[in-house]
Amino acid sequence: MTLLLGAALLLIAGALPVLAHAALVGTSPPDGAVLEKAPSAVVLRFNEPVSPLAASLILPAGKASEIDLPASADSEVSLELPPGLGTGTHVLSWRAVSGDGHPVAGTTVFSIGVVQAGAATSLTAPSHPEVAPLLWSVRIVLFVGLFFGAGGAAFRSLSPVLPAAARRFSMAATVAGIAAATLVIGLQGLDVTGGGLLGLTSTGVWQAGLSTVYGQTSLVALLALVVSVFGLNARSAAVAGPAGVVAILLVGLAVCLSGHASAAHPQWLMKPALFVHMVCIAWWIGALLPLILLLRQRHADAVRPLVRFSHAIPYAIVPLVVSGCILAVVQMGWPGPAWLSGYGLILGAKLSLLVVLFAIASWNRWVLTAPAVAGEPRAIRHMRRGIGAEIILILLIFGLVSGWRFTPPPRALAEVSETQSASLHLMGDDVEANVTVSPATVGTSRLSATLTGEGGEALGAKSVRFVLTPSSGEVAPTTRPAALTPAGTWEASDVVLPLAGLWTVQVEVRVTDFQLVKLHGEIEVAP
Amino acid sequence: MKTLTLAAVSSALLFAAVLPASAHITLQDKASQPGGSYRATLVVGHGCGDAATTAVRIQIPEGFYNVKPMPKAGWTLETVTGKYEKPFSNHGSVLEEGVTEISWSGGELPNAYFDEFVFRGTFGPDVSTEEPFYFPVIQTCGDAEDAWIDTSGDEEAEFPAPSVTLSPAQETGEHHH
Repeated sequence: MTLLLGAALLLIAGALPVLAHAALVGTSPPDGAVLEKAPSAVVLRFNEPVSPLAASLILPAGKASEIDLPASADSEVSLELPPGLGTGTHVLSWRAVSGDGHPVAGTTVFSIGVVQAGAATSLTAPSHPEVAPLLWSVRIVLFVGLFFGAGGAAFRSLSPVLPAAARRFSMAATVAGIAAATLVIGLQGLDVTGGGLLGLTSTGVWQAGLSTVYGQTSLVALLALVVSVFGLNARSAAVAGPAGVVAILLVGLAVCLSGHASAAHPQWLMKPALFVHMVCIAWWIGALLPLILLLRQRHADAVRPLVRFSHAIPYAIVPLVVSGCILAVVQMGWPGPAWLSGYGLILGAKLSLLVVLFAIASWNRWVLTAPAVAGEPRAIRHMRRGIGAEIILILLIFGLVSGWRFTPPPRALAEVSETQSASLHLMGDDVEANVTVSPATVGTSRLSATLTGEGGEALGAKSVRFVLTPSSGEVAPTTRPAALTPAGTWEASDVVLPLAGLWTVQVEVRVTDFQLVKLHGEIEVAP
Repeated sequence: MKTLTLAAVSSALLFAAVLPASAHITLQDKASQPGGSYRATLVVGHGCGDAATTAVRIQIPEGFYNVKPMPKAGWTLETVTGKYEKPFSNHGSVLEEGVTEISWSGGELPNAYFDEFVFRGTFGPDVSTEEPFYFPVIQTCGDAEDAWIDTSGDEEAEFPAPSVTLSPAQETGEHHH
């Protein structure tokens, strides 16, 4: 058993670095912009709502200045800059946490007046490589605690008698889980604030950890584990059974509160599906170890729980499979090329293991249960081995599923590519423009332009217009006036691109009252 | 029947001839030549949309010198003067600076009527005869404004600047006055 757990832990810990699931879609002013005046704010746009955690502005002199954060989560985060910024290159470094609890970080660079040679353009927040692996390991301990602890407690709803060895194992898992659930809060705090392990002594880090969705998950998980301790140790089966059921319901709730399946839409479908999936798994897994141990003991003790388990298991498997299908289809889309992504391959491997798992479970249920209940030693022996194999398979599936934490689901990837923007550098007489079309797809887009003079210096203008013409000529040109943002860029939102294909982008810059400069370029609009 | 067709064709032709003038702000007078004097009549055929024109500003680009605007009853005439990039030699006297912008303001020209704004000056000797010479104009109608400053030459430009294309100077050695 220990060996199995060890193997599963290795499998999980061997997975890759964190890939964040909220993606930065664009910034205003755009990264690298040269502005005439200091912007009053920098706007970061993401593909899904994020909560900002920390931001600092590195001034041209190299000094860092903290930036106040907006309180609410949004897909557009506006960071107010301090007034009186001087000329030179500024680097804004930021960290945020997405709705599924994953931290994202980045820097955006802008210059006021002149680009400063040798400015710290590749500056990133200090990283602490030891935090992430520790966080993942501790989280695995937490999940082992939840499934074997709460699951074991739930077994008492089937069998008033819990074998002593099973109770000891479940208790150990629960206690380890409680320690892990507590530690996870602090580590999550370190992960989002970017601190090192020494930061665990600061209350701010723990508060930051609690403020993330994983903080809520940890709190509910703690509650689930405390209820498990109670259920595992209760003398009366009338109390123990319901306590175990409450514990696995809390496990489902805890898992629902974070992770990318919980962040997917439609939420009314995904959250319940995830909840049902987790509760059923916890109930099933929790029952397996006590069953093996019971089958080893006196036959008379094992019969009643075995019969009840075999009657109850379809009620767990059917919702498990249905909810699993819902989760897979929402995260993956209907079967198609996306199923060949990293995420899809893991799902494929999981499904193959599931086929074997269900085959063994069915064999146990329909072939072996009757003779085992009748007391036939051979059937009992086969069943013990069968259940052992189920545990191994389930642990392997755990290992695979935790690999998902490192591969964004095709849903999220599609959202990122949908929001992919096209950029153009246009040059004309005395004026150059960096134009971004975001997204460069059929539908509603946002156009933004920053203007520079020939020498790369920031350039003011009286007004700017965008004229978009499809090269197919099927649609009349779209003309949109641009508005000057506080960040110093010219933007037009809600520009409708009705056709895919090549489009001519014309930027009409009214430099002075009497001078109009027209810049041309082409973009490919994706369907 | 024949007369009718003829009438239709001629009215269509008339329309075609009139249409550009009524759609844009234009210079009515025929082209001059490099080194020649030019009386520019700016025809404002409509307001900004339906709004009445209340001011007309015109920029005098480098290459058109010694400019004098014609005052207009009911309009306040103002000019902006500036240094020429290249001094202009006018009958032996060298002009270093001159009018670079003219504005007629404080008037009221309803969309239903048209009017003319006149100024004159002399083209420099090296002005191109290949490309149009543009006079960017800003038409103000109360709070609204149409900027006729597009000098790209695009046929589909929404607000082209009024222009005149000079014809090549005749090699007669004749001196223009």
